[in-house]
Amino acid sequence: MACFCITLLSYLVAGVGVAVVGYLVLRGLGPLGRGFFRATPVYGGNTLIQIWFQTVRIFLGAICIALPLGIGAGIYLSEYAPDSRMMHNTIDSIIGLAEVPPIVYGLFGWGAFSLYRGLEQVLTVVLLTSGIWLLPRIVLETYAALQQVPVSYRRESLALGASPWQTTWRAVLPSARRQLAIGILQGMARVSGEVAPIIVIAAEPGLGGDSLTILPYYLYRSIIEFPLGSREAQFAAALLLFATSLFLHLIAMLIEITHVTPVLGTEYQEGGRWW
Amino acid sequence: MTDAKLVARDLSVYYGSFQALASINLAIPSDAATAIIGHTNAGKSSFLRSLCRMNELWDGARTEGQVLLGGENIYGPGIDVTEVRRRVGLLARRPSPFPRSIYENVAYGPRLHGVKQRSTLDDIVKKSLKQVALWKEVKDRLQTSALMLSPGQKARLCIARALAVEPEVLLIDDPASSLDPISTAKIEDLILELKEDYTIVLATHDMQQAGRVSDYIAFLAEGSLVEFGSTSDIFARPKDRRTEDYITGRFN
Ligand SMILES: Nc1ncnc2c1ncn2[C@@H]1O[C@H](COP(=O)(O)OP(=O)(O)O)[C@@H](O)[C@H]1O
Ligand SMILES: [Mg+2]
Repeated sequence: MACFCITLLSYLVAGVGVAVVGYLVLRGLGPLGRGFFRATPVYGGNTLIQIWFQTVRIFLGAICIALPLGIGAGIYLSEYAPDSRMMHNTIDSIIGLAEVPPIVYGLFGWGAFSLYRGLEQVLTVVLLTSGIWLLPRIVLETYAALQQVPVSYRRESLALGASPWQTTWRAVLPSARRQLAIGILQGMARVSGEVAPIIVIAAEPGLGGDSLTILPYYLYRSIIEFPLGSREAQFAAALLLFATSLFLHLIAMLIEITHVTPVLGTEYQEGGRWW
Repeated sequence: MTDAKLVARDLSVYYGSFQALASINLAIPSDAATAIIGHTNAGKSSFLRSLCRMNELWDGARTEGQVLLGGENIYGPGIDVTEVRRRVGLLARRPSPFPRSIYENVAYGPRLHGVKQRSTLDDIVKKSLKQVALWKEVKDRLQTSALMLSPGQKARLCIARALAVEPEVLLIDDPASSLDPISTAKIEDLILELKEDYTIVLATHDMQQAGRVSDYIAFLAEGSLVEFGSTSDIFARPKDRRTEDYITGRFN
């Protein structure tokens, strides 16, 4: 009986999901196809495609900040940090940081970059804030991916006369490559549609947030400002946003599917640190 | 006895406050196979790992005393640990190839030590695989994953991988414990061949195996060296009662 209920519930949830996506595609595909892409300026003189490019640029910028720092910190925590209470506390607090609601990051970004550092470019502030918001997720994904690599690979590498850094670079990272890519892509997908931190920053009058052309924010603003009407542009924007994040998820899934799980004994599966 | 390749001097190993090896003094002869025998938990693996500075990778492990490799203390100041580990290869109890191609597994070590030229790497890979009698079996599939090999082949691949960095000593930890008898027999044949050119230290709990492949035997019990001698002497005239019991299979 319980089993039946759970099955029913999962179909219900899946059904709701399909309905939402279906409705979005039905309402959004038409306007998208009818040239919202190129011709009609929908917002602040920008066409949808321009807004989309701007969005991608911002997130690529944020990733350029978050990836090197985040992967570096993840490698350090997994491979080099002494196995101490402080290291575990650090990891716990990074988990905490990753769970802080995005709107709080917005507040932080506004305070730190706009008020304190006096940056005037709204795009720069959004980019930096998004980068910082991505950071703890990337650290955790990296840490988790490296911890899955069996200790034996590290030992075998060191036994051949590799230095610790050679071991990280040549034995550990290549074995964690896929897991790393999947985790980071999924983290990016989650972040790509988030509007909360941007709202806070854009509300600062000194920043000229009105000109902010980022897809999720455009969606939010245009719905607030034009509560009535056909909402064609909004549906087109929503579909575009959904497709972007779906695209990231799909790449992650592709990597996952093509991954041949190696046949290993239990002893080999043991992950973690090696000293 | 020929020259000693490796000499343990008052070598002790601790894990936290637990002493796993107590003041071992042992000279391991050059270009011969020495078997370290003893019951489970006698300290065989700890001994092998301390001969190539791998023990310190285990949590809370601490080593005291000296190990002389060609006369130089590998625990002395200013020693390059990576060079020690290159010169003294260790085959773990369950050797695990890296999850990449057969070729890349063998080329891993030479690449670490700066070999870049493809033709040189090709030669090293071929030579090493021939040394472990694996070349014929895998020469047509060098680019396939090493994880597809049988356990016996994996063990030989790991020996080839170790040989590719041109070590002087090979430490082999209990191959019989994770392999079937046929694969074990192949490893034993290999040891008989390799001991002509390399100093081999084999940890084993199998007295018969020690008798088949080794020239010298060291018997460990509860972290102490009970007896060391040539294999024929140990079998014919064990000095210590515990050694005799072990040989005749009367455990404790
Ligand atoms: N990493 C470790 N941490 C704590 N104790 C260990 C560790 N490795 C080995 N020991 C202990 O040291 C003793 C010797 O172990 P080992 O060297 O593996 O013996 P053998 O290889 O002869 O079975 C055992 O009592 C074992 O429990
Ligand atoms: Mg052992």
